[in-house]
Amino acid sequence: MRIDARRIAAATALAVLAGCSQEEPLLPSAHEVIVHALLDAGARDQYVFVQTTNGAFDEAKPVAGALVTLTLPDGRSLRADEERDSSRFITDNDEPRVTSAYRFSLDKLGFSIVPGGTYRLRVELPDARVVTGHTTVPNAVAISIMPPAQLFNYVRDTLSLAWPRVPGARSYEVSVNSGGDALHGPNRNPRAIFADTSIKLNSRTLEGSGDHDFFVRGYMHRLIVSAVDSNYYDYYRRTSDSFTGVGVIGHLAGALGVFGSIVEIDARMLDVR
Amino acid sequence: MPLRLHRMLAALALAIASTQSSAAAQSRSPDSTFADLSRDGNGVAALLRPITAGFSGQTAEAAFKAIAATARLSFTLDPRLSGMQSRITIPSSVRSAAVALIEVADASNLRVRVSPSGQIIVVEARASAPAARSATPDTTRRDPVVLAAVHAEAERLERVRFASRTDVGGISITGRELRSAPAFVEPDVLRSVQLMPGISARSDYTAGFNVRGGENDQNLILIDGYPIYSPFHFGGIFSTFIDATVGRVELHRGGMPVQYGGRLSGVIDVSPAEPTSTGTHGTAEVSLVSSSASVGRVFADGAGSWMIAARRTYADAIVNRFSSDTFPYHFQDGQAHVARSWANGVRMSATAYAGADVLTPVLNYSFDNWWGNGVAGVTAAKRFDNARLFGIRLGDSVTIEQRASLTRFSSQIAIPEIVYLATDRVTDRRLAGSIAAHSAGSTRTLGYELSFQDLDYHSNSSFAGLADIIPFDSIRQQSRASSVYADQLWRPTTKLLLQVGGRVDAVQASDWIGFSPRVSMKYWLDRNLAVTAAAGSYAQWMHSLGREEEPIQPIQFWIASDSTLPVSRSHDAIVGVERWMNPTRFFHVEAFYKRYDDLLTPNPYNDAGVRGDEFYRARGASYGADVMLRQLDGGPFSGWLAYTYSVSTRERADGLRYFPTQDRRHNLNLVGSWRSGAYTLGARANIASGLPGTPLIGGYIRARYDPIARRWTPDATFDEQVIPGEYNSVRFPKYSRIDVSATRAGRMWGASVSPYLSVVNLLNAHNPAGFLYDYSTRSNRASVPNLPFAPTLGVSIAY
Repeated sequence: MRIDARRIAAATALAVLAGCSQEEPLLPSAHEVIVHALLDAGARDQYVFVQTTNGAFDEAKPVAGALVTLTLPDGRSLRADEERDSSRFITDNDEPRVTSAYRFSLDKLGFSIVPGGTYRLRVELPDARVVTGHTTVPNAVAISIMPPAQLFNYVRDTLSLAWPRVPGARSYEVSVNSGGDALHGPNRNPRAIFADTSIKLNSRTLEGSGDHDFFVRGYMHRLIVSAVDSNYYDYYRRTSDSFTGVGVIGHLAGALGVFGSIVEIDARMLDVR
Repeated sequence: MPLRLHRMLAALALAIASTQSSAAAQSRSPDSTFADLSRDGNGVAALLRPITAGFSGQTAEAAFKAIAATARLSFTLDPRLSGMQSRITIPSSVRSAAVALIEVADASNLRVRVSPSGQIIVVEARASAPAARSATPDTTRRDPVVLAAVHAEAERLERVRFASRTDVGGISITGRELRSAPAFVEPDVLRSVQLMPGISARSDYTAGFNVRGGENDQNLILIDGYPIYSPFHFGGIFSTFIDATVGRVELHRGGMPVQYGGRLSGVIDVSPAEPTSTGTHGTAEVSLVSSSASVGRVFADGAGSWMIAARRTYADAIVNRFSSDTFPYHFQDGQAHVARSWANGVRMSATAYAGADVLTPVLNYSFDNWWGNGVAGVTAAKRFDNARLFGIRLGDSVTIEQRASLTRFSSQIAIPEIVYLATDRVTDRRLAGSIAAHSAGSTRTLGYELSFQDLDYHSNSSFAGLADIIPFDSIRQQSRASSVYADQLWRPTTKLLLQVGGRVDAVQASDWIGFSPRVSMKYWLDRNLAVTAAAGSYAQWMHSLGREEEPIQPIQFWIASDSTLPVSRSHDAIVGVERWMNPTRFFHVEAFYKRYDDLLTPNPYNDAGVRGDEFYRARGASYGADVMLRQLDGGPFSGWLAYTYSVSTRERADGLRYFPTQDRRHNLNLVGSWRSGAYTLGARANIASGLPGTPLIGGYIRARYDPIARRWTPDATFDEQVIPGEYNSVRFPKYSRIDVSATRAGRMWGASVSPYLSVVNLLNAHNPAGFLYDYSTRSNRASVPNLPFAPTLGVSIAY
């Protein structure tokens, strides 16, 4: 179950005013394109996912047949390959699967993610709608080695991390994945938190803010610190206001969503016991 | 639950039945004997009210009436008494109304007599010696001359203001009149103020209100002239003012006089009630959720008075006593006021207030949550007659006043279990003073104000959604503002009153100096009809981070203008007409236009790590007209009709033009109170057009990249996002509500005991404060209602 603090507060208010709230059916009237795209400096394949929606959660449809292009810092323009692949974009059971993935293969297309480089994305939908955006990659080289696991006492230990500031990075994201099956593991989705250039983590970090704690006892955890650009940071640092809708910041023209960039700068393996 | 309600109603009925009618009690003690007025006021409280005025060449009749008006006395005089037209000169000093009346009577060879119930008559003084009789009797036959006695009801303060002040945009109302309106749970001054023309609130749960289209942080709220920053309890449902302590409320909805600075739209000054009775008197109020008590008395032969009051809610204690569940909340207030005048013209007063909302620990959560205000202020004033400075006569009299105050607002919300911390501290230290020179037809005032604010705001949480109510940020500031002002009230002709002044404010942190001219006038077309006009400029350097669009705003958080946040300005113009139909009924209508520059509206996208992005800059305008038809308290019926038409527009620096959330076009309030015997019935009807809102037209799932598995998954914490339509492009449904109340005044054990029953939203009208949209499974929206049908009861005791 997903938890939104505003919903909790609103539900409490509704409970206080029990019986006074009125519900009325309402048809969604949105006509939006949703794009989720990211340049991961440590990955050999970069993916773009395109959906359209009328505003109902269970009617967000993947878009096939779009023309997705990426313009590199040197001016070259590359076209993504469209693939039938639903393993790269996981949805909940009650939501349509995203089966179309637009892939930019670094190896196939012969390009790289240049630290500090600016990349421009253009998505042209079959219905002629156009989405554009750009991102500037944080100026750091991605790490590629995961260090050996270290023991972490769930009750007693606190993990302190610090990292140098990265030029071009708007913030830093600490992600933790406790492994296991993607849909049935203890942390089905990775937990993530923004920080400046240091953070202290323990079992109570983020407690109460979602399905699970930051760490789960008995599991091997992989932790990554990423330098992120302002598109990525802005898109995830807030959630939309349940009453007014404001809050989520998008920098795409023509779509909801994000086109950002991240560079992994630190990694840890924790055996949480 | 119904059974309990029946028991409570039965208990209330029993209480009503067992009380005696105060009217009946009065009828058993008719005024039958009059005695000469003595300097102690003959035990009549009203005669101990302080009088400072002096008289220079006025008739005794005028002097008597002036004293009666000031002390609100009811007395009878015959203008044909030989001494009534005597010209008298009495220097001003601070003394009781009784002493002042005796002074006038002595100077005009008259005598003042008073009945045990306080009825006052003026008669000829006793003949010093019988005149020698004519040797021959008068045998002419003449009809006896019947002198028409004049029953002179003291002029109401509102009428006095009509005759002596320009008062554009102003409303003065007594605490008694405000509490005649039906109330939710218990009388509340700030809720009742919202029934006045030009004033409304975003919702029933908003810690603030809007004055003539302004944002809700644009109002200066004063307790006895000292600022109080967030005077609300329980998310804005109750104010911090204990009902018994409210003497009079002065509202300025524009055209603010020069002594008021720092806010763009309105001023509300709540003056404390001052006891006027000899002996110790008090009140107690018991309602469903709280009890309050006050006690006070006069001292020094009426030259001084004190009052203390306290209030606490006890829903927590009741729930904890009868249920295994806990109700972890209460609020409490305490207030004290003392005032003393001396014969040498010195008056000193002090007011202190402290209040807090407290959330106590519940279950296993280690809450440490509270918020509250503290105010302490002292004022010293001295009046000089025929004061001279360097040989120059300053006026008939000069009043020098010096004020000092300390105000604090503190809040702490700390819930470690869910990683949430919000603290806010505002410390306001203020020095202010003025010198006012009064002469015939003119009053000149010079004043200054120095304010020092220390601000410390910090808020952060892993619940990103909480930022909508309590913005995430970390700000420490020191603000210093220095102001000087000058003002002249001048009556160039008997029909025209002009007030011209200006105020210069300097805000150190912003390196800003601004001049705010103010001018107002009143022109009497006849004795009961006047036209008014005013224009002025205003500045504001304290701003609330609370977002107007939110239907629930439990607390306001304040930060100050600095190098990144400009000082906001507004400029207003008002024209109006005021007509008195009889001594207790009047009507006024005012049209207003207000323009805003550098208005700061909270930025919902602010980044806690960036200073200066807390607000959008905007400009805009509010205009409209409001009407008030008012029947003053005193007869069997009192109340008012208040209607406001208002249009507000804003334009942000990024080009977005919109109607702000407080843009309520029509707002009609009918408030009435009927007295019949021992019963007082109150009613309030309100109908208002809907406020602007943003429709949420859909939702979508926000995915988040997993850099470890290198795939996208639903954002673990906040995946469901809504899609807003055009900002404030629709209107919420209209607001309508009828409240009623019934009070029975009686006596029990020597005290006045008045049980009351009040019903808010009698028809249970559904008034949405906002909507929650759900596009996940079945598309719908659920309203968050304003106050529903809510009967409450209580009892007021005065002794």
